[in-house]
Amino acid sequence: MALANLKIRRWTGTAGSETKTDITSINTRHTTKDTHSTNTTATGDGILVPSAGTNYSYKHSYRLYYDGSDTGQISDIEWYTDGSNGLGTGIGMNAKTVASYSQATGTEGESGDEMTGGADAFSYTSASPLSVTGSVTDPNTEDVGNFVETQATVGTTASAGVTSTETLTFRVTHTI
Amino acid sequence: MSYAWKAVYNDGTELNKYNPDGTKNAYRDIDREKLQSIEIWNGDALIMRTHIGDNQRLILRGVELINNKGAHNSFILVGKQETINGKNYQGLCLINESDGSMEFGGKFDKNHPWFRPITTFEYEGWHEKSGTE
Repeated sequence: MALANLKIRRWTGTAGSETKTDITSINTRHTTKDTHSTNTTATGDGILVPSAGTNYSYKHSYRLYYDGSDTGQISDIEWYTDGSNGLGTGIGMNAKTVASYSQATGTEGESGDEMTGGADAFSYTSASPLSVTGSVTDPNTEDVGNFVETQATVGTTASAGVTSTETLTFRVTHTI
Repeated sequence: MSYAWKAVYNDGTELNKYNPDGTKNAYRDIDREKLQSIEIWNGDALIMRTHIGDNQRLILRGVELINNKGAHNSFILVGKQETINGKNYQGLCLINESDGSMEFGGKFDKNHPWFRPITTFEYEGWHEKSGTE
C-alpha cells in the first residue's frame, strides 16, 4: 500500500512560471545559482568562502507532489535530516517551512541572499522533525503541503571544494 | 507481493482493499459500526489480525518516507484505541513493507520516530489529533 506516486520536487525560477524538478532520487546541489544541478564537481557556481562573516547558497525550495490520482487523505507532513552535520568544518544548513514560493536571489559565484528565519537543519530529526502544514484529500496530480526551504551556510573556516551529501527526508501518513 | 487490508464485519461479510476486478475500496468505506477485525495481508499470507472490540476504534495508516537519495520506504501503522473513563488508550503496530518486520508501541508519542500522533478524520469516529488524552 505504498504511496509510490509521491515525489519531492525542487522549485526554481520566477514565481508563477517555476521549473519543478523531481529530485526524489537524485542529488541536488546547494550552489549560488537558481537552477537544479546534480554536478558533483565545482562548476563556478559554488559558494565563495568568505574572508569574514558568512556566505550562503541560494535557498532551495522543496515541495511534495502527488503524480497520479487516488482516493484518501495525505497528511501529517514532516521533514528531517539524520541529525548529524557531515558537510565539513565551517559549513552548515538552515531550514524552515513557508506557505508560498519565492525565487532565490543573490550574487552568482559568491553568495545567495540570506534566508530570513529558519533553524539549523540538523536539529530536525526523525524524532523531532520540522512540521509542514498541509494535507490533501483524494489527490489528483497536485502539490501536497507547504514548502521546505533550505540554505547552506559557509563560514571563514570552510575548506574549498565539494562537500559530502546529506539525506533530507519527508515523512507523511496517508489513509490506505 | 503487495500488502492489503481486509475488514471483517460482525455479520459475516467482508470488505477488501482490492476487489477481484482490480478496483479498490477506500479506507473511508470501512463500516466502523460493524467492524469486528482488520486483517493485513501480504499477497496470500495473513500478516496480522487486529480485533476491534466494543467501543474500540480502528487505527490504520500508511507511513511513507521519501528522500533525495531515492529511498521510498513504506510502513503500515495498524492498531486500535479506546477511551476509558475519559482517558485514551492505544495499541499500535508498525509493519515495514520492505521486510515484514514489526514494531509494537503502546501509544502515540510525539517524541518517537515511528509512533507519532496522526491526524484523524470524522468518519473514523475519533476526529481529533491523536496522542492527546
